[in-house]
Amino acid sequence: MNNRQARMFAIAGTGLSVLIFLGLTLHSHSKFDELTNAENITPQVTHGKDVWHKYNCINCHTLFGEGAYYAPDLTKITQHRGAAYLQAYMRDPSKFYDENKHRRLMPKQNLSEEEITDLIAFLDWVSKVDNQGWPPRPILVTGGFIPGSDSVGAVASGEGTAAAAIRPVTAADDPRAQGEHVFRTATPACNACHSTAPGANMAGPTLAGIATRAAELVGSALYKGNATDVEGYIRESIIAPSNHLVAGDMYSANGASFMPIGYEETLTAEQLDNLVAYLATFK
Amino acid sequence: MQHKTFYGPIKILSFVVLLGMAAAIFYAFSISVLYWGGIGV
Amino acid sequence: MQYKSQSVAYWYFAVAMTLFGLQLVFGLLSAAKYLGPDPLLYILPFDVTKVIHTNLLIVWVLTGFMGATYWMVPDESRTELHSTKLAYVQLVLWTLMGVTAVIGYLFRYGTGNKLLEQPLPHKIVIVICMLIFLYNISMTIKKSGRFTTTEGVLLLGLFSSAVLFLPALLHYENYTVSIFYRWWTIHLWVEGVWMMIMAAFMAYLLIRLSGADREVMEKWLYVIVGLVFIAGILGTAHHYYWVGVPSYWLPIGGFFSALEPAALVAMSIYAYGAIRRAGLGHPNKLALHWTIGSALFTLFGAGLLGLAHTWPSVNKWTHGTLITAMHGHAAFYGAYVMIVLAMITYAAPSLTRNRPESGSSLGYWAFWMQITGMFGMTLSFATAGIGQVYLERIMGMGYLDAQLKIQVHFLMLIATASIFTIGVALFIYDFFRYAPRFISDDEPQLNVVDARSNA
Repeated sequence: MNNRQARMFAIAGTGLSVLIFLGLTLHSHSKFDELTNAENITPQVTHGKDVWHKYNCINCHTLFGEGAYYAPDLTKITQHRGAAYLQAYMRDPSKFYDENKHRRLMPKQNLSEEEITDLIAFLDWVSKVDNQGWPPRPILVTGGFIPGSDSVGAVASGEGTAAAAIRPVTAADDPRAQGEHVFRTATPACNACHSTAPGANMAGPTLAGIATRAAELVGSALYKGNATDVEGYIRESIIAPSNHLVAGDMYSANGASFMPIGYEETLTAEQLDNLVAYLATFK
Repeated sequence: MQHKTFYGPIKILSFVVLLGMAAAIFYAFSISVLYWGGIGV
Repeated sequence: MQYKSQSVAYWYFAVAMTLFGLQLVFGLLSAAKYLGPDPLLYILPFDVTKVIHTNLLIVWVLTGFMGATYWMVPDESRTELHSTKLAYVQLVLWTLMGVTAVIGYLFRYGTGNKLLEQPLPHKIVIVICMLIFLYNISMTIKKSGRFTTTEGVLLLGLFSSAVLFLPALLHYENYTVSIFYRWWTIHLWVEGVWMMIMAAFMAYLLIRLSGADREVMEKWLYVIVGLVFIAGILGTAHHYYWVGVPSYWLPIGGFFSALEPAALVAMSIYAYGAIRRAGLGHPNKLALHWTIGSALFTLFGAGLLGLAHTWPSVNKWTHGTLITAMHGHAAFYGAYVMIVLAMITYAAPSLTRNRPESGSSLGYWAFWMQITGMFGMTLSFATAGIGQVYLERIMGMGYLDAQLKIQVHFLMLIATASIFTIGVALFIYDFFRYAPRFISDDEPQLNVVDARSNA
């Protein structure tokens, strides 16, 4: 190959690549609206995007896996956490995570209520973008599909009790934060059998989306229990799991649920309320 | 031209930055030692 | 230094070195935050230190490119620069832009758009600086009438950098579309036109340092540029994984970014071949270390480590983990940091007084400590990243819990980053300890042995 041929190779190769790239770019533009549900980009979502930018979120978190790697990916966060939880979380993250146990904490951002609502709307829009099904398995913030795998914080801080990875809560905390604590510390612990990750059924069915499912179920002909609303359904499932059985041979037999009973005695009325409030956030 | 005037200041500035780098190493080292016991698998 | 106006390069290098040092301060601060409760949570949170760390990198590397170009173009075109005054105006504007942007980030004044955080006024100043720069360089070449291939590649690279910055000035309503165009700037810079700039500097250095034949070097330069663009332009698709664009970008990204190492292999062969056939023993062996080191470290960091996670079925699991940090650190350091340091090391003996042409032992310590440190940092990010992928993505452990399990690797990161920082500190000290040659008393008592017979 001589100099001239080498130059021709460089120019032709580059030119061809540029042409293909521009062609595909044009074609992609005709697909963006459909793939991203552009009709759902309301002024609220746009404002939420501005909030996302204004508070420099992407330099700790990732969105679509893009950003910094210091905080959890938020692509599907609104499918893992209900709006009420996220709203309370963003008012003050330290009410949900303990810097000494998790060894990392999101600084309080002092967002206005409107900023929080719109940011959640934006994140909800993001979670519905067609991105080839990524992530292939849900990326959780805490906890895990494997029972006991979230005990690191407790071990690291020398307490050694498996269920104590969650930050300690006081009566002053948000009921939902206290409920999450109950979720991990009740005996037997709820998270030993239930995950909060979509599709991740363990010994018990996943609790992701339980509020949505309960809302559809209560009042329908399929429902066998006595509850009349979502909170009632969740409460009933905790204290009387056999009233209504979730379909599946791995969950029940002979009309009796495999779920342990006795939570009505071991949990205080307030703990039960908090637990219900927490689970009702999984929309 | 202005070479003489600026060499002094930028040399001093570079030393300030070098001090900053030393301080950053010291800080990161201290944090490592301080948190060493809390790091477990 | 054959042409007086080349001395502007000294001030560009001086600014670049200062900002390089500052970049590492913020890097170390960011790394320390991985170890436990952050004492600086409400003073300098991670997002601030991280944004300053990456932005300083971009600013100082570009400052280094500009300085190196002002050094190289008079040599290649055998003429003085068109205007040193413009070059100084550009440097002052550019530095002001960089410094005010960093100060702004301390107060969260930025766009919050990854890697394009510069506020609009700063972006406009960036464009103005690039235009001044291109004008000055073009006029210099035009005046001389001597236009080498190396220069042509360099100039085209710089010009395209300016053009590709334009999509970054626009505002996009759809977040996915703004991601799409972010990578027109960032990806096509670092894996396209900056590679061109790097290849041009490397050709220049190899011709000068090893006396390699210009005809052969320039032929290779074309081949490399061709390979870089064939793989790099369509390789942009590897940034289009999982962000809400059509699915055909997945196989395109996988195929073309798998080709990207080809150009880097070619570059390494050409660097190695050049020294094997070297007909000329240039005394500046230290600059040769940096040049060859740059070619090899690029092959490792950009080529091998990029290839490791670029295939869609692999990237599906590694996307958005510390694996990306592993690749990013090694690739940027090898390709862009080392080539700028090579140009500085090559030019420094002529720009400063009484500096030994062959480099000081301090200079060699700087070289080896940086290589060792960066290699260790890369391995630390790799082990942490692999752990993260298995625990978090494959086993389904929560993010925060998985981070605690991989925390131990950050001790190694800080240890190796400290070695790296000391290496950089030595380089900076070595750069500043000799005064620049003042034009009035510039007596080239050290006659630079040059490859001009070949040039």
